[in-house]
Amino acid sequence: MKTISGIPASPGIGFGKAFIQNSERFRVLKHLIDPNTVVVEVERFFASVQLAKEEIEHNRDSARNALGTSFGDIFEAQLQVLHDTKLQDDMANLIRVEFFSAERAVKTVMARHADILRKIPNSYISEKVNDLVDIEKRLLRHLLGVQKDVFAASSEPIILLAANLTPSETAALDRKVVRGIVTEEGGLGGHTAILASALEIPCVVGAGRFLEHAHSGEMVFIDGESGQVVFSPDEKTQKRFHTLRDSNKVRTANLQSLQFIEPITKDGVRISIHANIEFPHEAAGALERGADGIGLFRTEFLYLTQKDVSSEEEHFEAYKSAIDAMQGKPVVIRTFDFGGDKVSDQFGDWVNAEHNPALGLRGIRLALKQLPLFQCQLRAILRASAFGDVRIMFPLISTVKEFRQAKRTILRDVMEELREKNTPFNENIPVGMMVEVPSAVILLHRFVSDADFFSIGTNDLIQYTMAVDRGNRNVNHLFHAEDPAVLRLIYRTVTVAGHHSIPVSLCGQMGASPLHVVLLLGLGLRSVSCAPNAIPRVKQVCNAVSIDDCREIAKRALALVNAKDVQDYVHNRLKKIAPDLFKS
Amino acid sequence: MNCHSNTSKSEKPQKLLREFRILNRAGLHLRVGSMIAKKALEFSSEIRLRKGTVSANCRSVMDLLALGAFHGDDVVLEVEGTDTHQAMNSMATLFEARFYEDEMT
Repeated sequence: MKTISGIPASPGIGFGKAFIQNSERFRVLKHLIDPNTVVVEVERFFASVQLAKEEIEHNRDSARNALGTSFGDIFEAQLQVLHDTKLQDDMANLIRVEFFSAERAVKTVMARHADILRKIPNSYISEKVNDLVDIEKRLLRHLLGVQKDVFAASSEPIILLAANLTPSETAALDRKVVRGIVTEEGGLGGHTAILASALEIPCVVGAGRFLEHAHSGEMVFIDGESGQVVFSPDEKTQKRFHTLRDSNKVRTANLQSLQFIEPITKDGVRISIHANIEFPHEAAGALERGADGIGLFRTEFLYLTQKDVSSEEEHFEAYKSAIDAMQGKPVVIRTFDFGGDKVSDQFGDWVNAEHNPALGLRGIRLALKQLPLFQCQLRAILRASAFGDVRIMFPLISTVKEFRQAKRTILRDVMEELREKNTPFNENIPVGMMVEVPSAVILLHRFVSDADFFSIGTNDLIQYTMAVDRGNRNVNHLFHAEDPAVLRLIYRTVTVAGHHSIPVSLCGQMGASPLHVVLLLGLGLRSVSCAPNAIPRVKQVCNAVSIDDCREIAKRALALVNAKDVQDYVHNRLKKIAPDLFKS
Repeated sequence: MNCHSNTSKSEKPQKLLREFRILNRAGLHLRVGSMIAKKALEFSSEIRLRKGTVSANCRSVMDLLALGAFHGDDVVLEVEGTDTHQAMNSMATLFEARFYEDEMT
């Protein structure tokens, strides 16, 4: 038995067999696989061959139809190479006998053959090295993406162990099979944490180096609430986890019963609670838990999962299905916000070259540079606005100029275009912005004539205020929502917005924690947006406190100097005011 | 040419050898290799192509390419198994038709 602990990122108890995901970094360190996983690895290899085959066949057929038979034959030859049983056997044998990872087996065998071809003094043949490279790339691409099919093939529940996960890898996870995620890297607010909680998969991130000592197939127990992960637990520990899971179930059931309870404070103030979602299908769950609307519809994952970046139709469909599910309640759609940690392959070229992506071309900055992409998304949102209460939100606004350019120039042009085509949309669609860059907070009073609403994005606001990369283990101890510096920025935002009667909300993980909610209410906020599964808990907190209590707590907190002091203080006060909240 | 005696009692496996000259201009390149491999997969016999001392499994395109057989090269086709005659005849058709390349010349 071995126990490690990391940052709790998505609550819940999970157990299953360890499944080690070979990430790129891990693979560089370790080209060899655990002999116990040979069968899975060989399966993974053949699955990638199958996918590559289907892809080439598809290319062949479309080339034939579009250009004629002889062009299709180009792909026919590639298929033949792929079909080469000797080639496949060589690769599979390296996995079986030498315990090579599938990727390394592919690379090794392909390199061997490419070498032979290069030596042949005949350009007809040596040029074919390019075909080999093409096939190799295809296989590797599928191997990196083929993981989910292996999961699907697995009938047993697994706990996914990885150095880190890409957003598309996480988004593709099936929670029926994947009962928990543990990563070496990452922090709260990273995409793995956000996605895991959206998918409601228990998750622990930032656990430090542990993959070297983990064995595929061993039992792993994970507690997404405490951050504890136990490998090959003894009987006593297993029992403890089972009890924990049962009591969690009871608590969840109790919270579910709060569905129809209004989030009203003890002194009668109605708080509005919205949901943050990534996928349209989450909207139903949000409504079920009594959400007043969608406060943040992140749209990045639409870009990660779709094949054609400029597919307006896919966006429109996704927005419309969330809008329909919300039955007339507001849906705030945030335009794409690719950040350093959310970059997909398609956008990699633009962003990867940056030394400091968090301070680089992302959010609205990227949108204003990639106009066709931005306009395409705006068209989809506007079209969807004909079907419900849709609002547009721009991310990472740091200057008034950016907001004006996006709203007054680009959005207006797209509207004009739709009008000309007689496409219906809401002419008065509210347009707001994320308040997540300190410069925007400082100059917020200059935004009030343009913005229809504000939403505080806590994850980035903390990152930019504290100058802390939340994924960096060396410094993430400085990343605290309770830091008085952060609280003051939030306070200023709420105050300025209130003064000018601009609606203000807050989205980000801060909206989900009881301690934070108390602080936020005290700072004057009356609307928060959080993950759907956190809604019942937030309601419970609202019911348990009065605005007066919160105000007094927030006032004291603002006067403190350290995040830790704030934490302790709020915790102790809340324990006195609302002891019920601390019963499990 | 050369006949192998075998102890197997069911169908009599035999080995056939036949020499060909590569006549198409491009030689044994990928398209031709894939044509041969596809054909070879239709038969149960083991089919190998030899150039000098190097021999290739005809079911493997990569093996065939590695022969480096060019226009004018002499190669030997070796077929061993139970459907040797059909296999040899089919293969011969391919070689004689210059793999259906540069038909005009």
